[in-house]
Amino acid sequence: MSKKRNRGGLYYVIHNWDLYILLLPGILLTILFKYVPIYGIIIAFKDFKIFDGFWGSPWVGLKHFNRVFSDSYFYLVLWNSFIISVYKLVWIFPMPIILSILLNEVRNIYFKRTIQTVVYLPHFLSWAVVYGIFYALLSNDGPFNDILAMLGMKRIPFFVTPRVFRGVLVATDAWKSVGWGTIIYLAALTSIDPELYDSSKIDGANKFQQVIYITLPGIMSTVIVMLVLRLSSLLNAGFEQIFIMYNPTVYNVADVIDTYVYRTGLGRQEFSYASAVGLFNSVVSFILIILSNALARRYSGRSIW
Amino acid sequence: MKPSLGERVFSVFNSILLTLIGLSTLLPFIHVVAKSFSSDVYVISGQVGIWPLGFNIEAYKFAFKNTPILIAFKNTAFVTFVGTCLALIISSAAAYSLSLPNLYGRKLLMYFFVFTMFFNGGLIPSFLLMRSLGLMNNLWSLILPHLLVVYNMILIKNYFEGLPDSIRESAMIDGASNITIYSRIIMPMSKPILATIAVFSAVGFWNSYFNAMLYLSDPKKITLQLFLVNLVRQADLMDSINSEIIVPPDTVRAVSVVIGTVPILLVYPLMQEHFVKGITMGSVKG
Repeated sequence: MSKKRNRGGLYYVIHNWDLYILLLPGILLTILFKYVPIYGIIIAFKDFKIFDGFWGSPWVGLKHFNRVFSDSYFYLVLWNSFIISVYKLVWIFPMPIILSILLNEVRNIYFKRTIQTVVYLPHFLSWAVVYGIFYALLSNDGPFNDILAMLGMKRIPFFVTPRVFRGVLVATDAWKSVGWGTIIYLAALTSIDPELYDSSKIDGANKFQQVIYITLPGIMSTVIVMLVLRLSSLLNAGFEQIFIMYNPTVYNVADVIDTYVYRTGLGRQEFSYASAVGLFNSVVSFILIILSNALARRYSGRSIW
Repeated sequence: MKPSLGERVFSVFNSILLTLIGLSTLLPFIHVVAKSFSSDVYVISGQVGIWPLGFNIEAYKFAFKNTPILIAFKNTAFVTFVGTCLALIISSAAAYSLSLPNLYGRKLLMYFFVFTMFFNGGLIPSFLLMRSLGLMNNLWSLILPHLLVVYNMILIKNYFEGLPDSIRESAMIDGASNITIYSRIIMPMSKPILATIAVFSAVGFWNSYFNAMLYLSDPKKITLQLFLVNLVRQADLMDSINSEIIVPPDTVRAVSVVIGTVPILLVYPLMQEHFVKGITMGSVKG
């Protein structure tokens, strides 16, 4: 094999041309649907009008970026993206860890499997379905408000109340993703040596102490890697979820970068301005991904690719 | 060792807690199912809990007769089936070539693919591209951009790399071409990973909403998720539909949630054995 390689690339390509045929559809699709739009970002530096077309539109340099950075609404959506993402991180990130530790303590395999089957399920439901479910649950005469009323509290129109809307986003995201998130930690938990638990028992450790001194340290490297990787989506508040659930009454608290790009770009037809906002988002996300991956690699010698 | 008292208390407490968590996952869905089978009086007065009141299937009949739900179902099934099959073939073909350590240009090609995971042109350029390709109002606009998902391709590639080299080598000696080895030997050996990826892409195609909203406006091209969101958003949609039976919008919403979920519930047991393997394989790897 090594002899072949030494004869150079052309020889290899000619003799293994069919390997490149196998790659061709994937390469073409990637160029067309990934790289062409990346090239298309240049409209952020042009004054794009549908009728002038991509090539005919005049260059305007950083005009749109100047507008973006002097637009106070842009800072609002930037803040919303960040704060919703942080809320989700703070509330949701620890939940799969706790849930997987609880699941790991279950001795009855059938019970454990049943719970797992149930909690994984919402991951496979679309946001449209989740919206439909919670719309019914949280509507004014829905069960949730019935409970509030029974407790003597006022009914809350959850989807149109700015004060609680971010909470709705966090809660529905938790409902959908926490169970699924346990998979990675459950896998990490299986690698902990069971003898550690047995000997700690002999030393008189209780369950709580076992979790603190054996279980948590055992999965800590996974937790840190997941946390670091999660940081890469710090500006990603959950576009499809918000896009489906939000409405003008909660724009102030829930309009995020992606929804703003959609409404300015395709709603108001300000293609170039919206592309400039989108490019800002892409660049920041790219930097965050590179940084968090470098951190993960440094910490644990592991990386996403 | 016999469990101590403390352990037994913990175990009971733990089981109760997990049961509650399980219930809080299931009950919202059960509530909607119950609603979809309840009669209108109970739905309008908000009395339905987790059990249908005044059981009937009128709302289902109504939905199938008076709303475009069947068209939506057909379109979604088409996108899911065609998309999943093509995605499997295209991703695994590319994955096979990239799994060969000697492939000339392998590193460059990997950068070419992986870069698209981290940087993208964003919404507006993608939209304009789809328009200039003439794919607006075409179901293929939901399929074509998702035929090569780099992450899935890498999972398949990792699996191929784990297969023993000797198989490929002996087939080479027998004079088999690369394409023959890929399609006749490697693919049949890789059913577990292909099943995993098939599940993930099928669920992705089935659930995709935003692209459908973006590219499809023709009512004949409506998809299930699109229909569902429109339905939940437009409370008075039903008023525009002439019909003798008036079914409350809440019930029709419940029906469409159920119809949008049932296919996933049906394949869920089949896929469960695969996806856990899939995700742990794909998880942060060394």
